[in-house]
Amino acid sequence: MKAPLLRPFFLLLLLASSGIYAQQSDIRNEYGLESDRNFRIGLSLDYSFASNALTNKIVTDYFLHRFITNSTKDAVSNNLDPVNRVGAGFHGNFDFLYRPDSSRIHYIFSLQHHLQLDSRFSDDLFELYFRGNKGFAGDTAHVDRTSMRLLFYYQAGVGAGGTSNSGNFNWYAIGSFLVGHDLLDINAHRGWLYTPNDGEYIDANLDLTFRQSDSAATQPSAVNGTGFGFTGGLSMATGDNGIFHLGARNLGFIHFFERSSYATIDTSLRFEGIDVSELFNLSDTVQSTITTDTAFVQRFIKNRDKRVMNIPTPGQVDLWQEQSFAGNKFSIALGTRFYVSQNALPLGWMEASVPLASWLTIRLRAQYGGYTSWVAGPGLEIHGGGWNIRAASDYLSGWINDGGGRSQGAYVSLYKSF
Amino acid sequence: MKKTSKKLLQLVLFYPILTFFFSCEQEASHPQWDINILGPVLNASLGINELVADSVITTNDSGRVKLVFESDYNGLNTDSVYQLPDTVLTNSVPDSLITSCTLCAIPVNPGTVIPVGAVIKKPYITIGATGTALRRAVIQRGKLRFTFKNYLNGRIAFSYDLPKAIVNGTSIQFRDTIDPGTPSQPGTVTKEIDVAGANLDLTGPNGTQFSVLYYNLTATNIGTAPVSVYINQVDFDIETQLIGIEPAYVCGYLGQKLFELNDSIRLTDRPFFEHGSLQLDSATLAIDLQNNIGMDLSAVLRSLIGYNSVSGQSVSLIAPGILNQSLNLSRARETGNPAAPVSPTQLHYVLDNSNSNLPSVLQNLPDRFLTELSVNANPLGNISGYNDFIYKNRLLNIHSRLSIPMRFSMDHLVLTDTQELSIERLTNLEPVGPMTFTLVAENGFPIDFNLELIPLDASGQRVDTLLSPDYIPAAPILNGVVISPTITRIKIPIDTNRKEKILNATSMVIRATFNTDQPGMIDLYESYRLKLKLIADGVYSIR
Repeated sequence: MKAPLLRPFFLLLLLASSGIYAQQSDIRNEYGLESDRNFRIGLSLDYSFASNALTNKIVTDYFLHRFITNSTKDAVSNNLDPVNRVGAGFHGNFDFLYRPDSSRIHYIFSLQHHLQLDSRFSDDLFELYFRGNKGFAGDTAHVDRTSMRLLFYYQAGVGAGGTSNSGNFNWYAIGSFLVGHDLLDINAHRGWLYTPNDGEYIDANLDLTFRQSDSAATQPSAVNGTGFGFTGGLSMATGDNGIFHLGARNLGFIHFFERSSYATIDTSLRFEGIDVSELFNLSDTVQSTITTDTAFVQRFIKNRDKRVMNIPTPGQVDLWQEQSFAGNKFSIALGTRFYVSQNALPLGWMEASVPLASWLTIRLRAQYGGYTSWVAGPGLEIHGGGWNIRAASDYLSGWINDGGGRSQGAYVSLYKSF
Repeated sequence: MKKTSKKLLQLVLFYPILTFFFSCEQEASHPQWDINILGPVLNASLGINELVADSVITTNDSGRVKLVFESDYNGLNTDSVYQLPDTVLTNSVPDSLITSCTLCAIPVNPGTVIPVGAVIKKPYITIGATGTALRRAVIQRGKLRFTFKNYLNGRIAFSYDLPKAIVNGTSIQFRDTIDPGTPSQPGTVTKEIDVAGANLDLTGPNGTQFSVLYYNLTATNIGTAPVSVYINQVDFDIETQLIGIEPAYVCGYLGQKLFELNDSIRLTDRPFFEHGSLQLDSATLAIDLQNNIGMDLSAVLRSLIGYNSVSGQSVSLIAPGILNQSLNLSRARETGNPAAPVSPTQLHYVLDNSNSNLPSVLQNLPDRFLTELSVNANPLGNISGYNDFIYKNRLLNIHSRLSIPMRFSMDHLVLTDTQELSIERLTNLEPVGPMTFTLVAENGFPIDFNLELIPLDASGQRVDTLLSPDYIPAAPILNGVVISPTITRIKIPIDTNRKEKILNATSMVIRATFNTDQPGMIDLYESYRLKLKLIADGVYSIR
């Protein structure tokens, strides 16, 4: 008698208390509502940065405008692969859940903002950008296989979640209206730079595409595009104290309006220095001036026009299995994540959770993949009296690795159910 | 305990977040790091077109360069040949010219015409300079001002008419009245007329006179009492004032004149070369004289001196065939075609190696020529029968064409130029770190260069010498033509100290010394070029 009644409660508790610590919002039914609650209101914030090559040090120095030393660059160079990845994000969420009395269905309303950077770049591009072209004397620097997307959008979602009669199955689904605010998208389809040993010229061959939302509309209320997204998930009991989860987050697209800029650079050029022949023109008494014309670059930008753009939103698909042991004294989960419309590799993770007290649960998570390699981090949850506070960092190992860490991130949430 | 633990946990949770946000202060306005660069910065390609204005360069079929300097000299202007200066002409006749007088006072009743002939003996205005006899004048611009003075004791109505002064198709006429006057205070009326475009027949009423503009005058006593017209005193006076009269055309006999045309003809706005020696193979100076004046001209070229304003040296032309010889130009003819009214006469002279020392004059590297030329007009007097003429702006033209084939040899010929420089306007050099620049010179001229680039500060003091060594060897030639350029690389290391000096430079002296090492003379081809490229190898700071 107890077990069937307890199971759904247990499941809900598990869903509510575990797995929410993962970065980029926990898909493990963060939209769950305890059976004895009718309302929940919550706030969460998370940010993350991860790369297979770029270190926390160089990123911090870059954005704080500190001087980037050669040793900082060396730490990155030691990690470079022919093709490298970097991702960063800052997300905020506000949600409101409501369950009518005696209903198995609760309704979900959410407001979110997402700022996401996703990039792929070649090792030569890093060296060229941070060390210059002298290291490529007599050689060709390949800057293709490079892309960058910076996307900022808002999301307003409406959905529902529920539990099956048996309590062995939970689900939630949210449809969202998306508002695109900023987009910068750069793709290098082809690119190389050749510097001869004597430096007498520089040959460049570039095929780049730039896409950008309306650069004139940057005020916070600007709407540069609209779209739709879907977030949903389900979980089901498997065997003894086991739960299988499947979820999808932010699968959708944004249609950026006609004011968006589109430009291409498709050129092959040889640069031999700025022509200052006029400086030596002794036949002309008029003083000549030489200008370093920024339009020198503008000449190579072709096909500059305004057009609509449909951009898929960065999403993810998760599936994992969690199992509790020793009478729920601890649980272990194993999972994998696939990134959609991003340059991240599939991610595998493992997490162990231990309730230390009725109001306190700690967990430790380790993962491999995504934008970086091995990382690990702790999390904790404090709850009681309807309050639930969570804090975690999946990338703490990278964060505390002074100089060599290639990831950082944190998640914090505050919920009140009543 | 529980509350304390919770509070502690809250502090542990929130403190790092607060610390992070309040410590995220940017150290500078932009990210910063250093990069090592290797690549071209500046390039220049110099040929004869950069040394000399395009307009003086010509090339033959094989591309050999010749410099051609053409100039026009119009030392004469209409005013120097003939002018009608501002003057006041009076028509009162002193009584000493009256030879007889049967009635010394003529009473004129009201309403009666005053016999003007009794008071005005010379009904015409004399126009023209002494020594000339004009038949006709067309006025370009100017005015005539007439002041009528009435010394009679009665009010006078007068009519003044210049039948041979036509303005806009009609003769000049005035009708007016003048108040009574006294011998000491006449009544006056002033009239002014713009005579631009006026056609003046200056041959008098019968066409037999010269330089006179005759008039008709009628005066009537319109007072209420008779006036006495005294023949032996001035009763009526007309002053005619010429104001700013410029003739567009005059004809008649314009007199004999001598013009001294001593002038300086500038070849270039600034001298080419400071010093050194230049040997030229040849040069030709063609002089064309064109006479558009209806007067015989006899010109004498007394001297032609080439002057180098940098060295102060001058070399005089020796040309027995033209110097101090009378160069006689017969008068031009009138065609009767208003579109081309003059058929000029011409003289042509050529100076070259065979009849002058022209190459020697040019080897002095003159930037100007000084000439002493005198022109005698109508040396034989009035042989045209009063048919001299002159049209404004159709005078004596002297066209010169100096042609110098660029076949020469040079010995330490130095060319210097100073260019104002604002390096900050060129580019921002602040991020440039320790750098080695390499000047790559690809010399396609058969001439050795020593090229100096000397930055100067605001007080004109040298702050550095950028090129050391500065020697760029000549390109080799075969059969008089360069076969391939020579390439020279000159390193210019720039450390922080040197960079500061260059940044403070306000001007740059560019000094080039030229030598032709080949035996004999070389030919210059238009295709020859000196290509300079500056390559940077060093540190650049990204800011």
